[in-house]
Amino acid sequence: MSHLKRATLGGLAALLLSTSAYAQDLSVEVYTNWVSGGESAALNAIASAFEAKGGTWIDFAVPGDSVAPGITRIVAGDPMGAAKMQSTDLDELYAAGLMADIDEVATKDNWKDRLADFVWESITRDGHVYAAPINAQSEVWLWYNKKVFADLGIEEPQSYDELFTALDKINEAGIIPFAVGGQDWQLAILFYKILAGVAPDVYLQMQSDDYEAALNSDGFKQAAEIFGRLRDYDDEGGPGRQWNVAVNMVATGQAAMMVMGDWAKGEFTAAGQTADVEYGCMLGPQNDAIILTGDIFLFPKDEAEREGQLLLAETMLEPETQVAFNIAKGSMPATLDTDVSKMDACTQKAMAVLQDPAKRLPGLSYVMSPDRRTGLQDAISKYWSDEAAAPESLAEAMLDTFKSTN
Amino acid sequence: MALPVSLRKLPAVIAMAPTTFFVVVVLCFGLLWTVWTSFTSSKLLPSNDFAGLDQYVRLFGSDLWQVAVINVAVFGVLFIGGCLALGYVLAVLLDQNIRFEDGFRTIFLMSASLSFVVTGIVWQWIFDPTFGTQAAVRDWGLTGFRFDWLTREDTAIYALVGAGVWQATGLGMVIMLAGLRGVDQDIWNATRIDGVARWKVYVHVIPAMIRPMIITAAVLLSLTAIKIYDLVVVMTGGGPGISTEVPAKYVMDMLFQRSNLGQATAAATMMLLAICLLVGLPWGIVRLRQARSAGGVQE
Repeated sequence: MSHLKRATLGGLAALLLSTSAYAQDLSVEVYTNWVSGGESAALNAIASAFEAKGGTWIDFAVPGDSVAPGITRIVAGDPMGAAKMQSTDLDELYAAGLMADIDEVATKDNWKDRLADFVWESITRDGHVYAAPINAQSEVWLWYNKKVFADLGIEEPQSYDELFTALDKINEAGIIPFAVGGQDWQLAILFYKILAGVAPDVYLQMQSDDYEAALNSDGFKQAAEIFGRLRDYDDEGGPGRQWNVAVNMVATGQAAMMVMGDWAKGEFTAAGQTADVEYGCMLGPQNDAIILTGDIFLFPKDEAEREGQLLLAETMLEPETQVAFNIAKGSMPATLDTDVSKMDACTQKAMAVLQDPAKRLPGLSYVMSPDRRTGLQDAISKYWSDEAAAPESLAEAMLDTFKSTN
Repeated sequence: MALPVSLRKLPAVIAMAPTTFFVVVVLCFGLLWTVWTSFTSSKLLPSNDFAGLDQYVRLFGSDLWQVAVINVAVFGVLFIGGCLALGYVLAVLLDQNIRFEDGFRTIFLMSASLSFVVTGIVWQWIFDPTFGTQAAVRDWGLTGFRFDWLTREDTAIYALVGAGVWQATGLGMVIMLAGLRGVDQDIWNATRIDGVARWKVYVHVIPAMIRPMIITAAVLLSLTAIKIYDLVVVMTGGGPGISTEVPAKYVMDMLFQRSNLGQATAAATMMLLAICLLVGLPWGIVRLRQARSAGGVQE
């Protein structure tokens, strides 16, 4: 047993030695948590573009939600060249002096003008650029089954009143009107979509220091009411349901509609369906402002990989890379000036809307600590699962979270 | 020629060295570091900014933690009680000189060899109202049948208890069965002569005689209960709402989802304290009593 262990350890050590021996010139080790089929295909799109320019891509993928495997190595002084993390992770890593800037690439390629303002701010600290955004994801999509809509003679609802009329009609037809994945983060996506729809200004105010006013506003109350009313339109299997199961309910016509981010497209595609043919995507009802989130790659300080890091950052924001990556990943280019005519109908629809800066709403991951964000999710999910809870109780619970976190 | 004592002990010292190293460095250092970090304002990265009792103030003020503590108490009492009661009944049934005892014992113990993850997935299917038992019974024609414990806030924790008891009963059973096998045949002869019914002996006499076994089983089960995590994550993810949150999940979420080392270590420290008080203390008292009564016999 111990021999076996020792042999394995020896093998691992040899492996580590050999990777560090390769780590020179233009090779960069890249940390992500992307391991599924679509995700690896997307990563390969970057890797192949990078290697075409003479770089060497070393994959360091650890599945799971946690960034701990990456953080541990950076803090221990054995950083990888690039790490997929959140901009809120950047705060502390930057303050600890562990990040390398990529100013020269960002200036040369004019990143500032090509990115949404809040994305640009999220990758810069004190005027220097420390990360490269690879995609943008809309988190406000309402996906619906076109056949169910057509059979019942329903048009895309233009307001929440129309939406509820449609939901009632679908309910009478014996179809589940609204599929819900009853997990914290999914319910949060649904709630913020409604909030951004009925009161985008409140959604933005909630991200500022003036959050208390936002939570007490009429817009917030209205959103909480609409969100609460939706409880009557899902089925009883909702609690704990995975998002892909909910998407499949819509794809198969078991349910009529659902709300989820861009990545739902992957499930429709896997079911052999095409946007605007079997399934429809709408940004509304009421308001087509888009909550954008996205993935960014940070560049930890590592002299040996410096040249490779710069080349990789440059490659990541090239339009060809952005398009190839996002076709595979199902999301949109982070560079909003990119030509998306080769991409699917939903992406084209969203990109057209995003040309208006007023329609770009920052996702909470850009502006709030994971601590606060997750706390808010708990409050939202608690409100959802307690059918008797009044809209005020949501505002109260969220205010508690705001006050106990920072 | 006899070696001096110190030299004779050398192989033992060498053999114990790795264990000692791990206990001292990994365990003790880890514990101290955890406790220290809980008094700092650490977030994503560990820092040494002393923050006093801030983390504990927030911890005890948090809804999530309060729900988690109540849940683990409810879960613990029902889970340990259920496993012991059911395990004892099974052990008694197996103790009746039945045929195929080995086979039954293996079957009852089998569930304990499954991880909580596997157990959780299976029971989640069983409880899923659109897929499991409820859907099946409704398909047979009983359309009013309801079995939706897992998806209702007030009952989800009991669904977890059910799955937990199913998994761990076998363990309680074998430990207590071993105890039953150790009961002196004279007891049975004596009670038979006195004309005491067999079930009465099992209810009134035997439990006291196999008390050490019951305590062992209870301690093992309580350790499982306090650190329960995987079963919850797989079956409910803490939901619906926050109704099935547990302390271990609070720690893990703070650590890996919310990047809040300070909160995570504060919660972990409270769990450590709870284990010391609830498990360590009674265990210590029992051992002390045993030692005393053993000493008394010698005198």
